[in-house]
Amino acid sequence: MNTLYILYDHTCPHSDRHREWLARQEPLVPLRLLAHRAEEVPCRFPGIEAHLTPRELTVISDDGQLWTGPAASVMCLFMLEQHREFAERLACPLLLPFARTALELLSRDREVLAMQCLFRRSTDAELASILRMNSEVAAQRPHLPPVPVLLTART
Amino acid sequence: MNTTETLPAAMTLIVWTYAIYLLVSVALTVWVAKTLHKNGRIFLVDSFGGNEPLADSVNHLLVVGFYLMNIGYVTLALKYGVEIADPRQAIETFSTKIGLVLVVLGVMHFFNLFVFTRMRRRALLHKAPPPVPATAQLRPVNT
Repeated sequence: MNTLYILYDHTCPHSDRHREWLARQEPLVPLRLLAHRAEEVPCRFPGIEAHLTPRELTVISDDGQLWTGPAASVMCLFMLEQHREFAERLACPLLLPFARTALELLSRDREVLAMQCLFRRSTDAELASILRMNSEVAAQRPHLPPVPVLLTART
Repeated sequence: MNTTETLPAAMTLIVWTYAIYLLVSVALTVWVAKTLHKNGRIFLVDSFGGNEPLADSVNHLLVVGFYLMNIGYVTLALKYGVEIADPRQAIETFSTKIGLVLVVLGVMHFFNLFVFTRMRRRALLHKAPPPVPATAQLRPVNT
């Protein structure tokens, strides 16, 4: 894998923030951020249109491996120097459904430090409940940027 | 004039204790450094992802740092201890000083291991395969 193409929905209100954030990170392989409508995408990868979902990230490597849904969020983080370890953790079955929420939260710079602390200190179950809370909040207000709920599940 | 005749017996004892202390400490430092240099190489090569020239360079620099730290400590610690008046005190002082040198060598050794284990983990993470299987496989067009 020499290049990773990250395809984003240019009509989604959150995509600009994702794109800007990803572009500012230090990648481990060159990343190319392309909009769904970019002409280069179907030219290079015929048949990819069937895999593009509105408002979702799609990730494809130059050798044609394609990731959609939560796996795409994990792959985005996996290709960043600073977040590879978190991505490895997010890939477990308990946390994978919340990978997109984790990416959402991490892409809000002010919360990065707090999230990193949580990732390091929480168990998988605690982290899952934090991400679940955040995804529920995000589902209630889909057009607003996520407001991180960083309460731990400890009682 | 023979100096040993003019020195009191306690003084001769101190000189001998210090001389043996320096000799044994430096010999120990050289032995540990050589062992680490020889056996640490393979570990370093792995930590640096198979980059042998870099691993050899770091290995050599580490040994230099190791010598500086240890011989520095050995010479600084020379003067601290009780006054030596009889052979018993001489042996005890000698033993305490050598013991401290060994403990310092051990602490440095484990600290080095800790640092390299972290580096190795990072190197392995860099080479790790994708943590999630691909959802689909497309056939890219070479442009």
